[in-house]
Amino acid sequence: MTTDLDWRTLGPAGLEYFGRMCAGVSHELKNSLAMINENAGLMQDLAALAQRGQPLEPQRLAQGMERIARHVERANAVLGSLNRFAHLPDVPRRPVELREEVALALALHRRQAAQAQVELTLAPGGDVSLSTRPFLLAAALDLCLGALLAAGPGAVAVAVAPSAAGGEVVFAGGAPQAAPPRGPEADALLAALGAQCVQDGGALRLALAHLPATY
Amino acid sequence: MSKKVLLVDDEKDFLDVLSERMKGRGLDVTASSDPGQALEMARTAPVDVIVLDLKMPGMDGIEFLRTIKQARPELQVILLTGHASVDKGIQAVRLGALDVLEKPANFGTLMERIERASAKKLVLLEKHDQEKIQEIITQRGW
Repeated sequence: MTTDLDWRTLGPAGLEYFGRMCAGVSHELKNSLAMINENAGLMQDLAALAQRGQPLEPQRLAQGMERIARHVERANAVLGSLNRFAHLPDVPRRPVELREEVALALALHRRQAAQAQVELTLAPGGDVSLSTRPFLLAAALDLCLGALLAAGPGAVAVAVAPSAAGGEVVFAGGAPQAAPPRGPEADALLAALGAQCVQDGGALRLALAHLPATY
Repeated sequence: MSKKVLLVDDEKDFLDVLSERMKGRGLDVTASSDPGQALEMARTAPVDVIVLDLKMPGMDGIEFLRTIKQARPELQVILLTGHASVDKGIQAVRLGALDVLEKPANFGTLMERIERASAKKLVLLEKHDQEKIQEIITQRGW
């Protein structure tokens, strides 16, 4: 059952966010398709040379096939992320594994992070169950990641941990001037999640509360 | 003499395969996944055509294009990008890009555009040489 509550909370920024994520995914897919296309073309070139009498080198064929397989796998992972993202608004409020949601956000921001020369890694740790609004949670993670990417190059370790109220996501490292997202839209989003985002010892800390199952 | 092509893209695998295919067709190819290094190469090395990605870490393709067109206006640039935004394409053409191709591109089309770009560079250089000669003739009253 879909509700428009998430979209109303996000306002016009919601569509912009959805569009930006889809654009990033389409860019990644195009890159993988280009790789597959060029490797297939290379094999055609090698076949044409072999027809003209040049010995075929099995190693070059194997290398091309390996690259194609790698990019099929990469494109499939990107599509998997897009599919999960597209279904986030399906159930507006439900329990999630916070770590999985953070992993999805990092996967969706992989290309943007590479452009900004920010290396994002998910620190090891256990799962944290959280009753929340998954689509809004993804939008809040996007806000935090946006602040980190805008601050400049660096390596950011993202950690997920339980808290008394629910759970928290800590973004440590990266450029020191990364400021917590502020403004009416960010404030409304964080309030809808029962969340706070603060700077804490050079890290950004997104504290999230369990939301009641009914509202 | 073979045409000198500089490939600039942050996907190293892509550079390797495209370089190999182009070299197989007799082009003199140099490739770089570092836009800063590629810009330096484009400024100083003999290059006819640059095939450039639009989105790269550290430097936007548009910024690259603007900088190299100021330094070497005769150089021909073809954008090859997965970032299929119309406004960026228009901006690139306004800045002097000869063409904007979307990934995945047809290799035959890309080769044809490189051929066309190389011919255009030659015409521009000849025109420049003729203007220089005319300027000298006029100045010296020959």
